[in-house]
Amino acid sequence: MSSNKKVRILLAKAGPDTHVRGLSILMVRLRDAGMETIYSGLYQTPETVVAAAIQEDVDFIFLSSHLGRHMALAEQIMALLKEKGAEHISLAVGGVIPPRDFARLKEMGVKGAFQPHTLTSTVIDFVRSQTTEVTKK
Amino acid sequence: MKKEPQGKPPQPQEASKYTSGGIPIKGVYTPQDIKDLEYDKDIGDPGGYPFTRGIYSGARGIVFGQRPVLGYGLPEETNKRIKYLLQFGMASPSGMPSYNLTMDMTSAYGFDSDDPRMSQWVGVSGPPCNSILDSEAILEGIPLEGVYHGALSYAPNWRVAHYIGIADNRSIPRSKLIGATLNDSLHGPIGEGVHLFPPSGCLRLIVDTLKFVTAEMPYFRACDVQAYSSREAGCTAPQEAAFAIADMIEVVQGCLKKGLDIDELSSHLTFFFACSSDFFEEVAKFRAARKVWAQIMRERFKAKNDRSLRMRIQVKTSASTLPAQHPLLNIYRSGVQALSAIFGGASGLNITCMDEAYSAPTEEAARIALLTGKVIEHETGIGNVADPLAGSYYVEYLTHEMEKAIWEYLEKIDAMGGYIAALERGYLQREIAATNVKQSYDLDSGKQVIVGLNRFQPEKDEDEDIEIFDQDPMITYKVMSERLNKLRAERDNGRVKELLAEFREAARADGYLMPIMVEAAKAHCTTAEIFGILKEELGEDRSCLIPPDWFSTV
Ligand code: B12
Repeated sequence: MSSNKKVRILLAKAGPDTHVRGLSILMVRLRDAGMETIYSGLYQTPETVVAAAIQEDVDFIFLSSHLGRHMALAEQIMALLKEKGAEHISLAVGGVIPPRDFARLKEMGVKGAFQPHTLTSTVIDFVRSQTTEVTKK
Repeated sequence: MKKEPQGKPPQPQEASKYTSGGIPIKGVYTPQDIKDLEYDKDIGDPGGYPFTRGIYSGARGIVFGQRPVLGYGLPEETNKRIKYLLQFGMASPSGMPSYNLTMDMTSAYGFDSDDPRMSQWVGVSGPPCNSILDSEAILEGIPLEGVYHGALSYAPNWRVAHYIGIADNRSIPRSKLIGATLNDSLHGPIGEGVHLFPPSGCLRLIVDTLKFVTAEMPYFRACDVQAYSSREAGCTAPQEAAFAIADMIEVVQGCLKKGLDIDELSSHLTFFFACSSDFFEEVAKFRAARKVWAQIMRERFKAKNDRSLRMRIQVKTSASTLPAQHPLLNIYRSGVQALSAIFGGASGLNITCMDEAYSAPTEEAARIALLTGKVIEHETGIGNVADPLAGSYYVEYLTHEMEKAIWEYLEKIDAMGGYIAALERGYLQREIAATNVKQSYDLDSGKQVIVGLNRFQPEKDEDEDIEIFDQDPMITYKVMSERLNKLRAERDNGRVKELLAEFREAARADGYLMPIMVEAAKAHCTTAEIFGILKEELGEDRSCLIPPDWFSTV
């Protein structure tokens, strides 16, 4: 990733989960922090999320999950990214993710997992730490 | 300790200058601050106009119900949970034994459990509810008479139709049924986030149910404005109250257009509010909202009966104020919020569970929440006197300011053409978004403190110590799919076809839906069949919660 290109992030909700308060904040705050944000809309599936991520050429998918189905959703998204040859896109999950699931998510290749109400500054720090890592490589 | 947030935390001696809803405050209040208020006109006795001090004329003790929202897995699992909690005194606002049911995501959106697109969500956040048989299993062994029915769902009419169908099957007169249903899909776009139908369709369904209960079910409340959900989506206290009242104005106007009588209608209307952490502001919110509503009912809608002017307020303590860190502290937070709801004169109260940030409540968390209410009720004595904070210079000042803030919003919304118009313009959504973004900056800078979240963080993640409620939707999916196959094979499909045709006809022609829905429920029509028709005939709203311009405002 070249340093003059803005980081692009797809903010995604899947299934019937309509807890969008967190994403409505991230949408604005990440933009204020100089990143580009794209909102998936509601009722997405792993397939539509991955397709949108590829089409929009994003660096990150931020899956926001509140109804307890994050493990299954993350697994499917990771598998689809691999299948479509889009492994350069990183997945992070937030919303209602109990910390006990963090290790398993990491094993799946998920780049970051976040507890409920995670401060936006923490999210911004996370993106910055990830992108400087990428630039260094 | 983890690192403190960026920005300098506020100095302890520095009083905050505003309530969380933006009302300016100072360190001390005196008679000067309320010299313009007249007791009879602005405050009044409890039980008298303008009902600032409550809708009852004396102390009613603490008449608060304790009904954690419940439901999960198979219908019979929910049935077991209801029976378990009834043992611990789960009760309605009127003190009657009661439950407060949810529906799973699949049924909530109008699908049947065997729809493969929804298989991951069967039994999630509520029991599945494909047909009246599921509702019967949920209520098996639970009497309908003498038990207050409570249910949340995005598809309330269908749910109520099941309930009425069960009563008919058990030969209980409809006029004896006591309970409530939310029936406020108009709040979806700013709260729940779920829109099944466009606003006009939502309003039509709300009015249809109100027409039915007004005619047949005198003790059933059938529009409970979901201010809770918009508050939890980010509203401030004044926004919560104002948007709820604006919504109810729209509903009342819709009913009057259909020829309903304001004084007959009014006993079926209630408000469902959240109670958040800014203690006195919440007290003021409830007091001011009652006063504004009384005035609207009297002056705008010309209600004649004194009872019609009373705003009945159900409260659930805020869930979004309960962080994952130090989860036991949430028992305290919810308890304090419950106190402020009681001081505000809430007619009914649910206390949120401490494990809110983790999962659906475990049995233990649900029991502790229930018993927290019992401690307040039986040990503190705070329910002995009606509206005990009345006359406090500060509380009366704040109530008055809150009232002004509510009116200001209502006037703006009226000028736009009312609640639906304001919704369609995205005005309400943008107001909430702005509040959310501001709060996120305040949390980052430490201007707003949530213990455990941005100050006093725990050394390690504590979630290992807290039991998490877990479930496997695929099991529920399989069982429910088999049951559906059986249902479809065994029911009288000729009758089903007939009723669905009749229902479609009525839906298309702006006809009366509820009576047909009840018959359809009794004939074992399924959720997807009924909703399929409604989605086709009322139009389906898939405009996802946030209009694009929501995001362009800071
Ligand atoms: C507010 C809320 C609601 C509001 C939603 C308003 C809205 N439109 O958004 C209302 C009241 C409408 C609601 C409804 C429901 N809710 Co709810 N709700 C919550 C609650 C209390 C807070 C969520 C929230 O908005 N927090 C505030 C925001 C700002 O924080 P956040 O979401 O964590 O987001 C921040 C960060 O985490 C980060 N972030 C978010 N996502 C991501 C993603 C990535 C990748 C990153 C890096 C960061 C990040 O960004 C934000 C920045 O500050 C949670 C419990 C909880 N503590 O999380 C329950 C909760 C999620 N709800 C729950 C349930 C069950 C429901 C209902 C099914 C209830 C019902 N039966 O009707 C419905 C379902 C609605 C639906 N179709 O989805 C359950 C889910 C249970 C589970 N996981 O097993 C929870 C956990 C409560 C509980 N314990 O029972 N809910």
